[in-house]
Amino acid sequence: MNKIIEVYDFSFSKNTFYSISGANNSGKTTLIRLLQKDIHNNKIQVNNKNLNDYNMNELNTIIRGVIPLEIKFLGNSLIEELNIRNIDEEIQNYLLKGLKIKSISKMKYSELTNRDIVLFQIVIALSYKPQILLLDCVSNYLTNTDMKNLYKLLNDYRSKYNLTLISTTNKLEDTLYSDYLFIIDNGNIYLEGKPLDVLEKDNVLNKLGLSLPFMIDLSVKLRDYNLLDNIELDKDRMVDILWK
Amino acid sequence: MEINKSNITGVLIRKPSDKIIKYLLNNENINNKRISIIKDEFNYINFKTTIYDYMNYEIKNKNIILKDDLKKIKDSLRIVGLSYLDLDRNINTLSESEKKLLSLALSLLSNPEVLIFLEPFNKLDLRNEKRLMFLLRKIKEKYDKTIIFISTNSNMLYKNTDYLIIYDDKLLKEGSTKELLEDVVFLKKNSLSIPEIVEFTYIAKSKYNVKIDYHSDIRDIIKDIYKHV
Repeated sequence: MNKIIEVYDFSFSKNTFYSISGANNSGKTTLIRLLQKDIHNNKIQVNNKNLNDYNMNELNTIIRGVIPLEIKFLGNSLIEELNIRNIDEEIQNYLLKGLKIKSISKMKYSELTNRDIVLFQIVIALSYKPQILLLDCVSNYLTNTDMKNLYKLLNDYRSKYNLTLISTTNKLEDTLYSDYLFIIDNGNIYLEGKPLDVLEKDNVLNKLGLSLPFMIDLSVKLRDYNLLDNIELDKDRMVDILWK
Repeated sequence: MEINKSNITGVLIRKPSDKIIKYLLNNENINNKRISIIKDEFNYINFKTTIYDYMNYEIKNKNIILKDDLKKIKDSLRIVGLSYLDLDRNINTLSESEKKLLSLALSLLSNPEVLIFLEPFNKLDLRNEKRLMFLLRKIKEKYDKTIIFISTNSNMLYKNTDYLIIYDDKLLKEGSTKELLEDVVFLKKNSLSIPEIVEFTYIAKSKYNVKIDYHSDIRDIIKDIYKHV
């Protein structure tokens, strides 16, 4: 466990969205666990202060993590849960509306799917208005529509509450929403930079066992054939460039 | 065409739901067969956390009658390529791809005729996705299994399945995967995910009447674009 923290040297700026991606076994979840739970490790600092110097109440509003399906619920439904946790109604409504899950917020936990539970975990984490939110491969449990809703909500949320978001994923398409991307493998930061700059390195990413998002893959290959100059993410625009 | 051993069947859903399992269990082609449902998660019941304990628990819990439990456990692990794992290994220490293969090995203990996977390649990187797909095709051929993938991911279903059921709280359509997933108008109308490669081709065809064909492999569409641009 400690090897990862000894090897990786991350520095995260405030109110920025970071993606960390890598193949299976590259250490993504371990990293999130360390950031979320290993508060005794002096090497993790937030606002130039060691994490273990904060008390638990302070920590709740500093850093919250979502590791899918790892949660102990206090209530019988999400609404009950939020009320037990004294979350004010305004933020409750804002989050439920943003993720479009109002209709399932009163359902009993026993009736929920894994997808519902992960969405609830995100609501609970955000309801504490943390400075840092850690998401561990949540897209593995959510649909494309859920992910679009989530990123839309997070963008809005960041503008309101100043949130630093650190999200791991093994799907490179998720990283397109972020400001900065790290590709990790075997205890090393393999690549880093703005997502589009990193994702252009198709040979390296394929060698690591990662598959490129379709439009990036298509753009890179068309560029190799001199049919395209730049990466194009929008299908309509790419069709226009090729055939207009 | 229908659900059978000769093809891999996909089920496209809009969002996860238990109703699709009930629907499949009532399907006349499989409802009288031994079925195993392979999910992502393990239930760590009674702290059965080692591979051996968990597999042994599965045998007892499902009343699977075997001549030699240990041999069957080892055989199942060998089929999925996990024979290198120590049976005393804690499941928590396995990688995602190993957990996925262990789920498959667990399901093989009862010698099912039908294997139903929920999001089969979820959590797997490209390399492990290819490995698992290769293994499943081999298992299907060698052991005569019917394989069904349930997923919200139309890209994956377009690439890996031959026959498709589209289900959203009720049956919407069934037929050849290629035909159904190339019906962009229908998919849009029902808010279902469209394979990206299909959507791109559809836009080119409908906007500029480009004579390119639908392909599931990106290298084929590149060749087609090169010819027609």
